[in-house]
Amino acid sequence: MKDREENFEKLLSMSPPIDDDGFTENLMLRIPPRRDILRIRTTVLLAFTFAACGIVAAIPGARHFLAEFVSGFALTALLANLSLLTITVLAALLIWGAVAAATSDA
Amino acid sequence: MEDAPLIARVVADDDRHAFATLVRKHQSAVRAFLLRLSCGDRALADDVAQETFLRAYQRIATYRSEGGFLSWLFAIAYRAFASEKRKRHWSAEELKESPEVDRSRIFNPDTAAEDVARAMRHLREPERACISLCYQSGMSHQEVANTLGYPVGTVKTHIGRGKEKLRAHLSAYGPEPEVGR
Repeated sequence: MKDREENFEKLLSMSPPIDDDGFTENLMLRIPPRRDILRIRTTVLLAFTFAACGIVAAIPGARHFLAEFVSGFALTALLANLSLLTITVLAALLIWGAVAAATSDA
Repeated sequence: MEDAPLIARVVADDDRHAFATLVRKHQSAVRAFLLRLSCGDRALADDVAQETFLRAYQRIATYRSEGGFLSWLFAIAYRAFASEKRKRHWSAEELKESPEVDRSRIFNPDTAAEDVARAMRHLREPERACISLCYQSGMSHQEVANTLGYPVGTVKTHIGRGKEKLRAHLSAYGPEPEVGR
């Protein structure tokens, strides 16, 4: 009975190695160079920075955000390797903060 | 070569050769796991394996060494399989129409693994995953639980139930299967 159970478990554990057979080569062709990902992230950050600068420049009460947060945020996001989604959410919060501050100052 | 220095090279320098070395080292285990999850559907298993390594490459900076790199890959593979299955409306139920394991078959190590993969179609997906990781990859119940995100008790239940079902469908290899000769 014990042998039977052992044999059954041996059967379940059978796993002949699978040859690579071009698998790795095909995969490497599908991987985009990291430089492209970095370039996209940097472009998005720059675009956000310019957009945020435009908004805060147009609203007098929010100008202090320009120096205090926007440039700092863009640099931190770039260095911290944040995802595009995180950058977008944080950027939206920042702009909302700037507009709220401007409104309350006014 | 150890995984850690290779991972460090991928993270720090985007070293694609280091990543290719990691893929070559682990592709067999990941594809074998997915082959069982997909009940022997080799095309689906290989597509999901490619997706698994792509996701691993994109997220490698978030990898923490607890549990090992292969366990991390298995966790990604399990989630990738679930999403690919939904996308393709794939179901193991459909495979139940295809022929059963040949009960007159004499044990053959080359076909045994394939027969086990085909018999997996009678199991629920978590049962397939737990049995594959436990027996095929030699992981402990605790490691399987950590990898798949189930409590240990649930893993034990899935393995127990899965084994009972497989025992019935792999009776071609019984009552005294001469495995390992």
